[in-house]
Amino acid sequence: MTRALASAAFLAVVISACHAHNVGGTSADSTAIVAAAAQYRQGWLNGDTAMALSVISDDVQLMLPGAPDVHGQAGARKVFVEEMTQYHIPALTVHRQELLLQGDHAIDLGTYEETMVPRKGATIYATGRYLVVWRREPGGWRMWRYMLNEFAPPAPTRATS
Amino acid sequence: MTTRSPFLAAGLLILASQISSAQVPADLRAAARARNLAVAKADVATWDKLTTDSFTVVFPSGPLTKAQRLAEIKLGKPTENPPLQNERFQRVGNDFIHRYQIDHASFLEVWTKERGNWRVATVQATLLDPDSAAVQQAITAANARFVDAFKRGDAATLAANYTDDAVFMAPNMTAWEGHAAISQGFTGFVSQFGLVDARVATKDVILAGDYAIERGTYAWTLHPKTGTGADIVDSGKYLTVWERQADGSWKIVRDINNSDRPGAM
Repeated sequence: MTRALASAAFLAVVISACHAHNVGGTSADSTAIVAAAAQYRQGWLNGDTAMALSVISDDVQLMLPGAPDVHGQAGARKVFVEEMTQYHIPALTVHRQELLLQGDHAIDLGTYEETMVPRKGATIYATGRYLVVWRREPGGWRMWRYMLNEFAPPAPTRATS
Repeated sequence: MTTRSPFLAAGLLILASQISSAQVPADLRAAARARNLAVAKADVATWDKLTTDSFTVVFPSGPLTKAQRLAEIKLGKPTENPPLQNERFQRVGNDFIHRYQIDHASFLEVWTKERGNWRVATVQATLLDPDSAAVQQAITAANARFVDAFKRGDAATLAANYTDDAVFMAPNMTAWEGHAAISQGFTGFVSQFGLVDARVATKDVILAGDYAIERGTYAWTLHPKTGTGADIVDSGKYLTVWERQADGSWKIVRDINNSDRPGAM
């Protein structure tokens, strides 16, 4: 699976079977994180690098499949620009399974489905799971650790009547 | 002198909360790296050049002036430059706050332009929660036991590292949720593969209440126990959430990893 899939496929506000544990956090924190995730998703849908980067910590570690760690805003910007240049993301859905709040950190876990339309070639449908650690920073909640892994592409299904 | 620096730092932090983060100038990053290296190498000339004349530092043991700190550095023996953890820069007006951790201490530096060059005006050093050192040791020990158990094919010990409600997420397979699934998963895995060689390296551990969030890398060679398949050489990274148990021990509650190899998923 390409790095492109991994970097694009990420958070959304569609929450399915999500449960939040507020340990040392508040519902306001949960709301703020969900809003930040929505902003991130919208950035990808719009192809808007600045919008997506606005919720990324300066100290972020992007841990994407098929590549070594990417550190910091500058590294993230490079990845985002490359991916947004190569792909249009018309659909991105996330099923958040849990959001564990612990003081100034929150652990966000779930799965994603996305559609990626490359400039050339066939549309790609990808699914996988994510674990993101959010950190409370002076400007708000930011993605601080971001790891994805992917599911194998589904086997072609035979049409049934 | 003794109280101004902390107040300055605190005031800047308050201001910083109202200012969005900006891109960090390359010359500032270079200066910060050079200054850290100068401390490690006892290079007083470079340190002096990157430090304002009115510099003060507040250590847990008390404040020092520039002259006092210079004298300390002169007496130091050159060492390896320690890696910085959780490094962050934040613009505050025309200045920058540089925060990072080394070992079990947290540092806050205020960088300003003086005579056309970036220099540190003040530093505040704080010892981290002493518990964090113990947690890191516990995690390092647990990782060593994990690798040993893997080499022995001891699925029970592998599974014992996880809480009853843990979730283990490897690429390209269904997540193992709960102790029974994790135990079954490891039992199946060690029946198919032997671990020939393995290295696990913790990059950082951050305490968050009763959780410890570990980031690290792995490299291993798996040997298929059946058939004639070739050994599988892999390297990648992991993000593991440990949870403090009632008896004070730490177990894994969430665990995710992926491979660095292109196409490996």
